[in-house]
Amino acid sequence: MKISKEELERVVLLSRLKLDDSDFIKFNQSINDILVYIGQLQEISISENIDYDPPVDFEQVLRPDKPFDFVLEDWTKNVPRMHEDYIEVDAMFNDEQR
Amino acid sequence: MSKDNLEKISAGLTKGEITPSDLFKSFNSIIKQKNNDIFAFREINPEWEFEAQASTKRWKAKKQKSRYDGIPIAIKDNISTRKLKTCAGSKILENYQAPYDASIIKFLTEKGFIIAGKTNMDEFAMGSSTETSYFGPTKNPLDLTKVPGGSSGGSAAGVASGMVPVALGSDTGGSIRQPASFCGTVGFKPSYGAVSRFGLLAMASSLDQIGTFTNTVDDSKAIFEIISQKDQFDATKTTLSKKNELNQKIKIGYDPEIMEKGLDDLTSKTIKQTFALLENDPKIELVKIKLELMEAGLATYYIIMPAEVSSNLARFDGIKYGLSKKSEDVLGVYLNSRQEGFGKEVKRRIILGTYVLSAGYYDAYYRRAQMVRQAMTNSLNKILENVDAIILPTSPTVAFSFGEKTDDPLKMYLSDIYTVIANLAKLPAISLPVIEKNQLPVGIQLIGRYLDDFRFLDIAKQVERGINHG
Repeated sequence: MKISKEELERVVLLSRLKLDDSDFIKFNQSINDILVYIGQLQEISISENIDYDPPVDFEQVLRPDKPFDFVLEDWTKNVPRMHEDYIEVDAMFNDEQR
Repeated sequence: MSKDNLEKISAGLTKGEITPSDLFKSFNSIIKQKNNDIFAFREINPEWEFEAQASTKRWKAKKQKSRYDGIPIAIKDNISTRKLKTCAGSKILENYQAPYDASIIKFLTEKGFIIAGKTNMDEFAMGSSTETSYFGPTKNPLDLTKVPGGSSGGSAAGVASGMVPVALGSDTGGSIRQPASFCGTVGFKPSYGAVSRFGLLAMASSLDQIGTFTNTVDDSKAIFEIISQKDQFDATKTTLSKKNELNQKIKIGYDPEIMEKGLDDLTSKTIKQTFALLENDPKIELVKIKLELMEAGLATYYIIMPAEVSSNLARFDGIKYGLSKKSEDVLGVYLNSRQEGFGKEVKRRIILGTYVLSAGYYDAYYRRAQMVRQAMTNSLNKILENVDAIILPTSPTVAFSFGEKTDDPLKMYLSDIYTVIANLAKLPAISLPVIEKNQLPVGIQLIGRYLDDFRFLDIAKQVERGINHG
């Protein structure tokens, strides 16, 4: 299975990424090579009736249901843009979309 | 002090022959001497000297936190530390300061370990050579023209060069064992769920595990005992099996076919010599096994891992933390920030992951890969009912040169062919070094039973003895 140029453009946008033209060509090639490699899984014969494990044997250790000290600055010091106590973001919609 | 093991240093502290301040002077001078060339550390803890002085006072007052109080440990740069930056080898987190310590940092500092610094790594742990770090590559201390392996290359190089006696890394598909193999250290990846991942920057959550780099198996066990505590912040932390005794003779399974193909000459020769040594060990019995779906393991891994990567790395959007580039609308902020903040390998894996999860391809890739993963896990568990551990090479090659595989991602991915199966099946695995004079080291890998990590480390110690005393 190979990925077309148009499909790759769509997936790059879905990935919330941008690629310049030279990277796009290289990525198209390398991703196709990888898809050919991982395509070998289609050839393997395995039963549809596999015994599935749960992801892990959970053993919940619960935290005490108590408030803990919370310093707002600790949690917002990495935020790129703040307005008073709020995280500042650009508009979700541009003027035409509003 | 260089290359001393943890127990020896601890004995020196207990007898009063050395102090934590001596340890600081000794290890810090090695770092100053070597780190410019090797670049194992991205950042050194500026408080180390003061913390060592405080620890020295505790020892003098007989109020030490444990027998390890004052011993330095290096931490991979994707494990959150409140006092030092956590950059994960990426431009997007170049100035990121975690608001809390990872649980394992808390466990270690409660015992008095001092964080020596943060070690360099492939960007977001994606790579097998530490060449994808935004901060520049780490070099192999045994040959500066060679890579140290990856993604935990900085931690491996730090221990191998004697800058620290122990280091922590993370292993998603071999990122502890492969660099341990390339640098000649012991690299241990515990069972999935054996160690809390709270505070580890997630790459692929069903595969990631924190583990150790040490000079001996005993040291790995000592650190593992501390970091495998229960944690209320990680619901996937699971109870380990009781510490069962070893049998008189331990059974180790090997697949003769794997020993025949795909290995470089030095690895193949060293593996054969090691097998000859182990065959003569009266406490070890080598048993032939057939590792099915071995080659499918890598293909499975390169579907599941990028799928989880694409989801986990969606959080880096330029809004809440990390690099942020302005734009006219919020989509533009995402695109510009991620375009400039992520390197090429990270982008490749996000795109691949998005593709295999997208409508129309999910069944063909992701669902299929999960089926193969489970079939492989069942097969490995069945083998491990009859043998105590499985032995195989850690990597098909010894350390390679810089740039040798960077233009061919698939070639780079093949470095992980023998390591990914343990992550896919959640099993504990360890790489033990075989070092011959004037040659690059070769790693011998052991894989053990799920959550039987303590007994597995006893088995590894037996094999380590067999290799070193044979």
